[in-house]
This record gives sequence, structure tokens and C-alpha cells, in this order.
Amino acid sequence: MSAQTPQAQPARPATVTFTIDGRKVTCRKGEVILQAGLDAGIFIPHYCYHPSLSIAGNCRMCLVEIVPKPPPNAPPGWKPPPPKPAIACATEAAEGMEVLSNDSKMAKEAREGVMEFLLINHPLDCPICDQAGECELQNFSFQYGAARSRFVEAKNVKHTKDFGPEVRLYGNRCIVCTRCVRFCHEITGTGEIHVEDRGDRSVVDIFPEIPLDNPLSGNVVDICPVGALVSRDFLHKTRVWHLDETDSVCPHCSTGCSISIHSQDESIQRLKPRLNREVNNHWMCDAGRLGYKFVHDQARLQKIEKVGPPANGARRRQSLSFQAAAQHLGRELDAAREKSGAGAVAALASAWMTNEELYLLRELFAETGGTHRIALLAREPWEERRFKGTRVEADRNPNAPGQRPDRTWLPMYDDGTTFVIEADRNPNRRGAELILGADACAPERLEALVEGCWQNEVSALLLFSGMPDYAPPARLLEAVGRVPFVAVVDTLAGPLSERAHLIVPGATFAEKEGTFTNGRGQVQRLRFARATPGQARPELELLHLLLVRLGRRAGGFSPEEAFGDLSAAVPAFNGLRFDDLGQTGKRVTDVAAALAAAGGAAPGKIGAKRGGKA
Amino acid sequence: MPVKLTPCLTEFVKEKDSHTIDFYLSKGGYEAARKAVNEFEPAKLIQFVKDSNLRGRGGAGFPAGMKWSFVPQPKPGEPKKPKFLVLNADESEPGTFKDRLVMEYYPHPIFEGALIACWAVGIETVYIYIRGEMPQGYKRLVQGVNEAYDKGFFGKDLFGKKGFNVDCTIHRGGGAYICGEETSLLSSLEGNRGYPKLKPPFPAISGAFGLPTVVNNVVTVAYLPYIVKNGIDWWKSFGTPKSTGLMPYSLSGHVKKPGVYELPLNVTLKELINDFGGGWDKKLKAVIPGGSSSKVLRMPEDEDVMMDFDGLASRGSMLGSAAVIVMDETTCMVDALWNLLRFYHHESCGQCTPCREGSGWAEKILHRIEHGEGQPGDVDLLLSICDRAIGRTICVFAEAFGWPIQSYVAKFRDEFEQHIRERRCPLTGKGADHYAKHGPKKLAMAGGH
Repeated sequence: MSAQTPQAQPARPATVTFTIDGRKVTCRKGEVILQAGLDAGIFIPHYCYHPSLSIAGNCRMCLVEIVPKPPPNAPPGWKPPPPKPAIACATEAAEGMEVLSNDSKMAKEAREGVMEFLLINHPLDCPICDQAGECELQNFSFQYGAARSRFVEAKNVKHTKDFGPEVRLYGNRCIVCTRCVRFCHEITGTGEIHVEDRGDRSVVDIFPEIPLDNPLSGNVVDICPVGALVSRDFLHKTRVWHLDETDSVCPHCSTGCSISIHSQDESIQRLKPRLNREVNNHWMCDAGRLGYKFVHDQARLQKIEKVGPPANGARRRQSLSFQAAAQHLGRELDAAREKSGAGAVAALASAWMTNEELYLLRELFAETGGTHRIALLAREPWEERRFKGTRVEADRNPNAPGQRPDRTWLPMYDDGTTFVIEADRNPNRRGAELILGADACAPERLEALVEGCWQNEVSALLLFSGMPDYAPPARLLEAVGRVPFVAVVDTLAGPLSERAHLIVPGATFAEKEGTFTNGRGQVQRLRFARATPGQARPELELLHLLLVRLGRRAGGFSPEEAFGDLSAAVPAFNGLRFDDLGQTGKRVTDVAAALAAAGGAAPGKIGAKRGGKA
Repeated sequence: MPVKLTPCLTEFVKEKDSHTIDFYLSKGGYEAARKAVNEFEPAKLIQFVKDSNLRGRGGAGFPAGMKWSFVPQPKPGEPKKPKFLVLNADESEPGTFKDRLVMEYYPHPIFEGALIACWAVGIETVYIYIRGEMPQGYKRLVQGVNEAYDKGFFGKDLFGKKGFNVDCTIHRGGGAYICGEETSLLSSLEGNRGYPKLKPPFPAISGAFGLPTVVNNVVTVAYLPYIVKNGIDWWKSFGTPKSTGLMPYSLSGHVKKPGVYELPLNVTLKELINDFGGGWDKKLKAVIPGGSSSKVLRMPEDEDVMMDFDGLASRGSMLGSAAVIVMDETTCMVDALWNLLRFYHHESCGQCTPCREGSGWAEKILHRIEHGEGQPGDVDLLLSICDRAIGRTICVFAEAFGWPIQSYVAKFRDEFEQHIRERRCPLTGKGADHYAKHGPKKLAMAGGH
């Protein structure tokens, strides 16, 4: 690049300053007016523009007026040409440019015109439309719509059909913004959706026999600005204005997408991705999107139970209070240690535990069994999927052909990837590696511990799972069955809880506060979205009570306090504060170095973070 | 001085085998290209074409030499990047059939002109994008290109110039009016949906496949051999200083002898209709001077208009593709406009909201007015739709359907009002039966068509 266009770099200043409605905006050179405005908190209405997709410029909603400036060698008495609206989504901001958005009568009239055109063939079926309440047609109608329609003709009718397992199309509502078309071409590269027919018969469609069934298909629902593409999972479930939104982290793989949990009362209705340029951009995968269902599973453990030895064909079950269960568990661990030595106490942690829980477990075992008696359970990997964004800004920048402007979000990874479904199906393996040490998370440690159970060396086992879709290997199950006392902390009833002598129901990701460290070292916060069912409690509380019993901790349990201790004790977390994590989280200092310090290998396949935030 | 028919491209179209290369060579074919390559430096050739003031014959009338000069040329020492010449033969403007005649009966000037353009701009690849509904033209073009290859007019080291290589590919369109718009033509050529692209960048900078591209009408380049052969003075001896040279007018409608008339660009409308079109027995009412999207002229007020770029611009219309459609007093202007809007509604690509929805809406309203169901205020609503669409779309399709509406209403508003008042079409009688049967009740609308 530099060889061919040596003058390109110094000639381009890094930023330009211009005004929108008189407000000063500074942005990167090459940025379009619309995005520069968004970044500065000035909203220009739009449908087709999406920050993570290429620019189509077809909805014409973002029309603004650009005040004409006299050319450099303007003759005296130069008169400005008649104003002509320009689309803010495709017009690059230039130094000193004067943009009128809401202040321009012409722009306002242009938008009113576009709104009228958009609605003439729209069915206006808001009362039965899932999008109602979060619909840009409704929102902009409020600003630019007319109270009465001038359209008295018959409306065009388009098809309604299921695009795939996640997505349904209501063609009548489609405004042909082509966001979904671009998503399937540019992000997933699968190209299932296209525009069918021409003119006002245009509607998005799929090809015969090729359903929209890619791992990211649900995102087209999120990016659809109207109710044309709707989620089949969420279809007619509730009205969106009843939903409470809680920022959280998707637990289903080590990408750890930033999500928002949309719940009504105690019931999760859907998960939506949140923008996080460090983690998931705007997207999340379908598996994660539907990964909330286990929270409401019939098999959720709700009762704390002490399970006695089999008698008369059934095992005696005794209910306990949470306090009593913690005391009972503590006594059993103590008894085992006193009887057979520290080595007789072991723990199986889970890669679904939060950083705080893992840290408290480490603290607990520093007191009892020794941290070398902790091994890690994790779900089996699946296939890694990487998605490359193909948006090339240079397409619309004739001054710098072939040059990709510096946008922080593209690409997130060195190989150009903008979204990854990680092979590791666990949200916090990286956290476990950093907190418990890489050895503790190695399969060899688990194998040694299982072997210890087989050899009857372990007489008390504290087992955490909390993993849906987790199928423990038969050898592990048998080993667990041989241990005289097994306490299982889990969310779903299953083969592990069947072998427990003490069942403590745990909390899912939506029911606890804490942090996950994703595969690339991003520490993000989970937040309470719903209460735990029955007697279930966050695992952190149980661990806290065990430490209180030993006199190591006092007062009520607090994720914030635990994180504070964690960041002081674990080098990789040094300098991170719970309150500072915010909506998108913070990166641990240096993943590779931290792992090396924790005794593990450098992370594989994970590219170094690209550049800094500008 | 009366204007004389000046056949140039159309001189031999009626002769046998006029489309073959042997015929063309017997008329001195490909000598102009040889002359251009041997006697002109590329930069000089661009200046030559600029000086000739050859304006595009496709519709916009943009000076061809100017267009060529926008293409970035590699600086000394820089590697050559591929550039393309795309010839627009997607002639779909209603009323226009000049390109078709040339392609079917005398295609070799097109290839020769393409070679001249390639030499001037430094292009090695020519695409000819021909409208899908012209099978004969396609056949003749393919035959012509093959013949030109056989005779060594396409290929490597042409006219003895080392390194002057030109290849030519014929691409058949899928049948969309919008693909005559240069950027959507390029989209279509690339294999994508024929959507117009955002400008800038302009094709000269980033066109087909993201590379510099010159898009010229086929007839524009077909004139190049004649200009090179006969010189600028010959070319400028026709027409007016600002509209130089010859133009094949497509004359149709209410004239006795419709057809393509190749004339200097200083003919008046009256001359065109009466002297060449043979006139018409009934009184004329209106004339579309430059393809269906140009603004309509009212007869007889406008019969003295000079049929060149400036003359028509002075009457608020445009030369466009020089397709003259003549309508006599029996023509219902509402019906004619409805017919046009049916076309534009059908052909809107559907990309931009105002054009996608506006063209359909206007069509439905005109359908209603013509069929006796017009309401007071409909005419103003039509104008309002035009105001809200024109200038607010990616390409000029909104203008293409908006200008006719604006001009028909401006010049024949009384006819529209009469339709609405009498609840029927006074000339065709449409709507009368409906009204008799259904009274003032609203018609059940049949959607698009």
C-alpha cells in the first residue's frame, strides 16, 4: 500500500470536525455523517444503515441537508446552488461541513415523504405484530408520520413464510432495507436471503428448498428494523414493553457474548445480543440465543436434600435448610479430612462457575483439601465456527482504493474474523485456568482425581456442575459413586445428582451476580435477571458460608467483595475493579503472560487483540 | 436551409449482408481505427474527441471525451491496472430503437469505435451489455465480434502496435429497464442483482468489479470511426455548436412513416414530423421528445422547438435518447400517462423507498382516474408524490417517472380534471360502464395490473 500510494498517509488528517444542527462533531476521517453523529450522541433516523454491515443507502430515511460552501476559487457574488438532500449514511463527513438534520425543513419534509411511502403498503398490523414497541416504523412515525393516510388504494400483499427454524417472514411488513440480505452475504457468507421481484412487489425471500438455517440466523431478527423477520421462538409470547432487560453474558461458549436477558416477571422470554466490539460485535449464535431454556426446565433442582443410604428399595431423603446444608457439608469435609488426611477431600469445579466462585473454592481448599485436589469439569467441545465480516470501506472511498480504514471493530481478530463461536462450550474455562492454575484445569488432573476415587482415596467430594447438556463420562460417574460422601451443587437433576449424598440446587447464569472470563480474557459481569427457584441459591453463597464456618470470612456474601479479593490475589486480575467492568467488561492484563505465570501454555488459536480503542 | 437526411450509421442498413465484416471492410471499415492507433497518441485522441464535442447518445448527453478523461491513468513507472469499456446496449427506454437498428444491421462501427475508445483510454477489455429482449441484435453482435476476431481486429497486438490488446465480450441482460442505468448495468454485469450503486465513486474511478470503467452508449462509440475518418470539422458542420454532429432519431406514434432518421442536431420538431415522418392527418396534441421519461411537449406551441440538447432544455424537456413519440388529438393524456406509469411501476428496481412505493402509488391513482374513479385532489396528490420522490433516490428513476407526471399534469391538467369530474375517460370511454353499473361507489382495485 505504502509503495503505491506514498502520499496517501500524511495527506489525510486523522480526524475531521464538522457540525450537525450546529453541534460540533469530531470523527475519524472517512467516517460517514450518520455514524459520526451516532458516536457523538446525535441520532439521525435510519433503517437500512447498520454499523456492522455494508452501506446500502436505500431507505432514504437519513436524508439531511448539507449547506453548500463556496468552492475555493468562487467568483465574487457566488450563489449557493439550490439545496438537495443527501443521505447521511453514505456521505463522508468533511472538515467544516455544515449538516442540518432536524434543523432543516427540507430534510424534515423528505423524511415525512419517506415515512409516507414506507407505510402506504405496510399492513399497520401493530396490534398483532411482535415488533410493536421496538419498531423503527412506529418510532419514526411518531416523529415524521402523518395522522391521516392519503393512500386509498388496495395495498400490495406479500407472502408470509417460515425462513428457517428460528425465523419467520411477514412479507407485508418488509421495507426492503436489505439488512438481512447483507448480513447473510457479509457476515455468515451463506447468502440464503435475497430480494425477490422488483418495485413495490419487492420482498425478501429464500431460495426454494434452502432454509435460513445457519448458526447465526437469529441475528436477522435483531437487525430487522420492522416486524418482517420475527423470532419463531418469541412469536406471540408477550409484548415487548412488558420485558425487563438485564445485561449479562451468554454462558454457552467461551466467546461469552454480551447479552441482554429479556424477562417478564420471573420468566426469561428471550436473549438478545448487545454491542460489544471486544467480544461479539452485534451478534450472537442461535445456540446461545435459545440457551436460556434450561433455566425453566422441569428438571431444575429446587430442594436441598440429604440423601441417606438405600433402605427398603429407596433412599431416605431429608430436606434441609440452606444454613443447615452448609453446616452439614462443612462437617462432612472436616470429618473426612480428620479421618483420612487432607488428601481425602477433593473438589470438582466446573467451567461454568464464575470467577468469584472459583476463587472462593480455591480459598476454601487452601484451608481444607489443598488446591491440588481441585479438578475441572467442562462440557465437551463442539465445532468452532469463525465468521468473517466482508465490509470493505474502500468501496466507497475513491481516494484510498484498497485501503481499509481504521475502524476498531473490524476485524476483531487478526485473521479478519468478526465473530466466533468458540469450540470450548464453557463460559469460564479461561477464568478457571487463571484462578485455579492451568494444571487444575488439565485433563490429567481430572483423570488423577477420578483414579483417586477409584482407589478409594477420596472420602469426601464437593462437586459443582451447573452445566446443561452435560453428559458425564461413565468412568467419572462410577468413580463418583464410590466416594462415601458426595455433595453435588447443580442446576438440573441428572446422573450426578442421583449419586449425591447432599444435593444443593445451584443458580443459573441468569440468577447470579459475578463475572466470567472469556477465552480471550475479557472479564464481563453477570447480573441477576430472576430469582432462583425454590431453595436454590447462588453457589457463591454456599462457598461463602463454608468459609464463614471456618472463620475465614464474615458477613453476607458479596460478589463484589469476592472479586476485590480475587483481583488482589490473582495477578492476571490485578487492577480490575468490579464496578469498572461496566457493560462490556475489561480485558485481563495479559492472557498469555498470566497463563504462563499460572503454569499453563499460551492460549491457542486466539489472536492478539488488534489495535487499541481510538 | 432545410435539414437533409444524413445517413451515416444508417446508410447501408437496407443493403444485403450489411451486418457482415466483409461488407463493412468494402466500405473502408476499420481504417479509422488504424488511423487513430497510428496517428494519435492516446492523450491526443481524448483531446480530439473532447474537441469534437461528441455527446453521449444514450440519454444524459454527457461529453464522451470528458468521461474518458476522468479515468485515472497510471503514472510513469506504475503498473497498469485493468480498466474496462462497457458499451451500453440495454436500450429499453420506451420509444427508442436506434441502438437496435445499428446493432442488427450495421454493428461493425460499434466494434471499431470501441477499439478507438480503448486506444484512447488504455483499455484492454470491452463488454457489450445488450438488452435480453434483443435476440437478433445479440446474434448479430456475436457474429460481428467473431468476424472481427477472425480478421484480427480483436486480440493481441492490434494494428501492428505491440501491446495494444483488446478483447470483447457480449453480455446479455436479463430484461430489466433499470439495467440501462450505468451503475445497475455494472451490478448486473458483475452477476449481482441489477441495483444502481451509490455515487460516488463514479464508474470512471470504481466501476465494474471495482475497477475504472468507461460506460458509453453503443451509438456514441459507433460515431467515433466517422469522426476520426472525416475530422472534427466535418462533424461540427452538423448540428449546433453545443450539440454537434448527427443523431439517429427514433420517430414513432402518430406519423405516417415511423422509423429511425439520422439527422443533424439542428432539426426542428416540425421538420422531423412533417418532412421525415410524413406528417399526420389529424391534429397533433403532444409529443414526447426524448424517450418516455422526458417531459412532454404540447402541440402546436412547441412544434418549432429545436431538437437538440439545448433547444429541448430551453422548453424544460430533454433530448434524452432522441425517441420522439407523437400523439394526436385522439390520444387520452391520462391514458397515455397511466400506460407509462404501468411501465415504470413494473420496472422500478425497488431499492429506494420513494421510487419503489411512489411509482406503484402513482400508477394506482392514474388507473383510478382513467377508469372513472378519480377523486378531487388526486391530481395534487400525484404532484406531491413526484415532489417527494424526485431527487431523493440513488439513481434518476424517480425523475424518470416523476417528470412525465409533472409535465402531463402541467400541460394537460384540464383533461385530468375532466376525467375526475365526468367519472370516465372522455376519449376512450373507460370507466363509463363501471359508473353506470356501480354508481359512485369505489371500484375494487386490482392492485398492480
